[in-house]
Parts: sequence; C-alpha cells; structure tokens
Amino acid sequence: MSAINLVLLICLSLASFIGQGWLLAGPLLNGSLLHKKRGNHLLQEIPQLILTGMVINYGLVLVLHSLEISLFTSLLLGFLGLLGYGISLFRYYRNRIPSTATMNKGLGAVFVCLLFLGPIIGKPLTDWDARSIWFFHAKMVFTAGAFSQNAGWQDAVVKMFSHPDYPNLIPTLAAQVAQLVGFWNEYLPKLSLFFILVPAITLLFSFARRSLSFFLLVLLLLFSINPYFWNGYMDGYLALYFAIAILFMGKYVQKSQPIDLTTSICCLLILPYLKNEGMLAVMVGGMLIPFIILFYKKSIKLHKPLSKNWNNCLYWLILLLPIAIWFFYKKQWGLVNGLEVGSAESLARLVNRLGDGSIKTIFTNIGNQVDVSLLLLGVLFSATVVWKKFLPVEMIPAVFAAFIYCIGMIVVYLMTPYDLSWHLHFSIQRTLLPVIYCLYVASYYLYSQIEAALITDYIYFGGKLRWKKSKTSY
Amino acid sequence: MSTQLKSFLRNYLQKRYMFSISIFTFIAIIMTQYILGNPLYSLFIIIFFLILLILKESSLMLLTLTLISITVFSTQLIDTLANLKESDINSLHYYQNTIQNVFTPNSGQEVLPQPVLQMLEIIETNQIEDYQLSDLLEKDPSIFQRISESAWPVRMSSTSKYFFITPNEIENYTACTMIGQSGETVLVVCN
Repeated sequence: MSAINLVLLICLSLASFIGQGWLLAGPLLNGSLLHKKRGNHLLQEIPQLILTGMVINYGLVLVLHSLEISLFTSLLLGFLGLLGYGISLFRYYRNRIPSTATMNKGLGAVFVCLLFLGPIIGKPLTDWDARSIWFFHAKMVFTAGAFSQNAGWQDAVVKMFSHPDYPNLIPTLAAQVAQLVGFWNEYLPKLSLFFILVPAITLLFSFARRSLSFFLLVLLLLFSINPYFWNGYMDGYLALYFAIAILFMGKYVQKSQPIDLTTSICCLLILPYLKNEGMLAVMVGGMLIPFIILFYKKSIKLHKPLSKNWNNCLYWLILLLPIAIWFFYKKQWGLVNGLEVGSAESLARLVNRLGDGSIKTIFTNIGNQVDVSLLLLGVLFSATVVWKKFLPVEMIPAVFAAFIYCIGMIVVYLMTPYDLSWHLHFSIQRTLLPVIYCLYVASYYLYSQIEAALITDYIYFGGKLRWKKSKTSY
Repeated sequence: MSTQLKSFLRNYLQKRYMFSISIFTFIAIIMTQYILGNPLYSLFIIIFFLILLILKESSLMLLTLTLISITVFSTQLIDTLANLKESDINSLHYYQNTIQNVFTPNSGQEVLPQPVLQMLEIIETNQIEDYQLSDLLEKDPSIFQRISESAWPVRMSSTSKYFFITPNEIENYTACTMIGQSGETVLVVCN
C-alpha cells in the first residue's frame, strides 16, 4: 500500500458521495440529472452534494444492513450520479470557465483541508469518547460486517458506557473505510473525519474575500478549538456545521439567493447525524428559518405555498429519512438515551434544580466558556456604537441562534440525571461550542460591516494610516 | 405630510432604532459578562469603548489589532497551529511510516494502557472468545473501557469462565487454573 492508494481512497470516496448526492439533488433541486441550474455556486453546490451523498450512503447501510452490499450499491450509484453530474458540468461549462476567484477559493479550501489531513491520519485514536463511543461503534459495525442488531448494540457492557443510542453517520463511514481495506486499525477509519471536514471547509471558503474579516472567520472557526477536528470527537463538527448553517442564513438575509437557504438547511439537517445535540440545533434553525422568511423575505418563492416548493421539501424530507430509520431501530432495539430528556423524572429534576442554586453553577460554567466570544462581540459593539455604524441584519440569526441554543443546553443540564458538577466539568467545554461559534459568526458579520464601511470611506475620502470617520454613519 | 418629510422621518426613526439596538446590545453584553462571572472582560470592553470615544477617529487598525490579539491570546489558536505544524511536518517527513501505520492492521494500539496491551496479547495467544475482569481491574475505567473496545469482537461477559486478574489477586482464584500471563496480567480459567 502506498500514498497513491490513500489519495485514490479519498478521491474515490468523495467522488462517490458527489455522485450519490447528485442523484437526489439533480432531479429535485436542478430539475434534471443532466442539467445544472444557473447561478449555483460550485463551492456551495459540491459540498452540498457531498453531504447529501453521505446521508444517502448512510441510509443505504441502514436499509441494506450488509456493509459489503451497501458499499457496492453506494459505489454503483455514485458512479451513475457522477456520470450525470459530469455531463451537466460539461454542458454548463462548455462555453464558459469557472471564474479565477472560484478557482482561487477552491485551491484555498484544498490547502486548508490538506493541513488537517496530517493530524487526522497521522495521530492514532487516543481520546476517551472517540475510543469508547464513536470509533467503538464503527468497530462494532465493521466486525459484524453489517449495521444490524447483531453488531452488539444491546450488549450489556456496550450499554454501560458506550451510549449505543448516539447517531452513527461518522462511525458508519469509518466502518466502510475499514471494510474497503479489509482490516481495522487506529488510523485509517479516522479518514471519515476528513470526509465530513472537506464540505465544511469548502463551504467556509465560499465566503472568501481579500479581507481581514474572512481571515478572522477562518481563524476562529477552524483553528480556535485545538484537537476537536482530528481527535475523533463530534463536537467540533457539530459546532462548525451549525455555524456554517447560521452563516448561510445570514447570507440569505443579505442576498436572497435560494441556494444560500438550501445550503443552510442542508448543513442543519446533517447535525442530527453527528450528535444528539444536533436535534436541538435543528430545532433552533427550524425556529429561525420561518422567522427570516416571514420578516425579511416576503416576496421570495419559498414563501409561496408548499405545492410550489414540493421539490425542496421532498429533498429535505429525504435527507431526514435515514435519521428517522435510525430512530426506528433505536426503538426496536431498546436503545434509550442516558439523559432521559423529557421524562417525568427529568422534569422533576429541572424543577428541583431551579430552586437549589444549580442555575448559578451552570451560569458560572457557561461564563467560563463564552467569555472570549462575548469579549469579541463586546469590542465590536463598542466600535459600532462609537463610530455610529449600522448593525448588519445578517448577524441577527447568529445572535438568536446562540441565545436559544444556550437556553436549550441550560435546560438539558438542569434535567441531567448525573451529578451536575461532574457533568458540567466533563462536557461543557464541548457542548457550548455551537454557542461560541454562533457568537463568532455574529462577530464576523459585525466586523465585516465595519470593515466595509471604513474601507469605503478610505477609498472615497482618502486617508493615510488611519481611516477617516465614516460618512455611512447615522 | 409631504413624501419628503415622511421619508425623512422614516429614515430618522430607522436610524435611531438601529442605534438604540446597538446601545442596548452593547450594554447587554457588558452586563452578561459581569453576571457570568467575567467582570474583567466587562471592564476591558468599557475601557476599549472609552479609548474609541477619546480617539474620535475611526481606526480599523486599532479594532483589528484588538480582535487579533484576543483571538491569538485567548483562544487555542497557537496550540492548534503548533499541533498542525507538528503533525503535518511529521507526516511529510516520515511519510513512509505514516502510510505504513495507515495500512497496517491493528496499528496504533500502543496508545492503550500497559495492562490492556498485555490482555490483548493473552487473548491473541489463547484465542479466547470471551472474558471477565477481576474486581480490581473492573473498577479502573481506563482498563474496563479500553479492553472492552480494543478486544472487540472478543466480548466481556459475566458468564465467561476466563478471568483477567492481577498477580495480587491469585489467592482469590485458588480454584482456577492459570493459562496465560503477560507482565502484571494473568488469565485464569475457572470451570
């Protein structure tokens, strides 16, 4: 085996996801398997196809059970889809070439993806939850050769510590990688992390501009949480995709391009496949989207009745189908969540903790996590108030998302059956990442607005080292 | 009312409205930082606000430097970059080792605790299909969880006749026969 095999494995897998994604997104979002819709940005379309392909692939594993048969089916469907996508791309780009900006952004995304490939495949699985939960599930599926009841989900020892009710998109991908090469080790299955990281980085680079705000966005979203993109935990990916969904929601508020809303929803719908907290994130996103459509975009097509958007709705429903199948299996196999959220006992605990001062402990812990993100936002608001700049409307979804998600997490902690201090100590630095990331997104939009206003003044009114006071103030 | 006046009023109210939201959010952030137990950060925001007021001119450079400083010194940015640098350089420099690790069955087990590695060795030598842990070993989560996942599909079972024990516990298993040992880990079979 050589580096070429590794490159081939990565390319083949990503191409297969793109192909499978196109089989669904082609007819439903583009109207045909052989025609690409005008105006869909490649850097948004390809990651969306990869994510859709991953979900379809996961759905196939859930339905067909056997890893071997599902792999073969996925590859076959991927090949067919890729053929269709290739033809549509050829037709679309026959008389035009992608812009230099798109190619530069694409190259930037590839470079950053490769930066993360080193630690992903170069470091073995060491961290606790990665070994005890996510990649243990992958090993269970791989050794059973099938995603079925026999994989060991109901084993007493597994139930004791491995949370078999957790979502299994990444573990399934890891099991498939191991199935492809025919063995298990502590390095190669981590390639599944790379597959889920590639669309996120590409989507992030669709925001690329020659600006400090984009530089700051990349630093904050990709490089500010040390090991979470390569240690096998899902929290970093959950936060990243939630932040990207909110970023695109903001972009949609700003530019009203339907592809932005579709991308945002696609990123939201991938969240329940990553972690159980993804359900909370989807609920938050689900609250924000109708709000945005009703208050900001009264004239757009998506506001029209369901009948005119049946294709979008069907696409989103199909994206949710595999997770529904997993919920069905969980019920059939008797896999329940340890947090018992929503049970009578959990509600009783919530009421008790509201009165016993636990909320103060939770606030202190939250304060230790969101301090830096709030500091960034505070500094930017200082500048906005003093320099009398407009508040960008696109930051509103981010602020609301952070707030609602934080409330949701507080409720979860108030309901926890575990010792609160222990639970907070071992999890809050990970579970609050989506809140922190949403505040980073809000900071990005605010900074971007200030930067644009000041640079416009610099261009129009001249300036030396310090930019002149803005004319685009109140 | 003339259209011009209406338009002026609408714009004026809209601007005042947005400005009020800015001020409200700004104060809310300072209060939140204080309530959440970060009074120093509240103070920092207020001082930064006063500096901007004193400076009068809009300075993107000052704002950017402040943001970058906060990002560099208050997040895990430096650790992440150091980790990426180390891993990427190692992967490139010793790329043959990396590729060998990636394509070798069971590679990477060296990260497991020593007793777990010894148990894995005994399991492989004796080709057992299930096992139990002694009370002492079971109490240690780093052994209990690590052996459960690393030995899989060889399962831990409460009905197994094979027990992993430490040499100190042999007196508790006098009715059993020792069938394997590696370092400080012993495998006994109890019929």
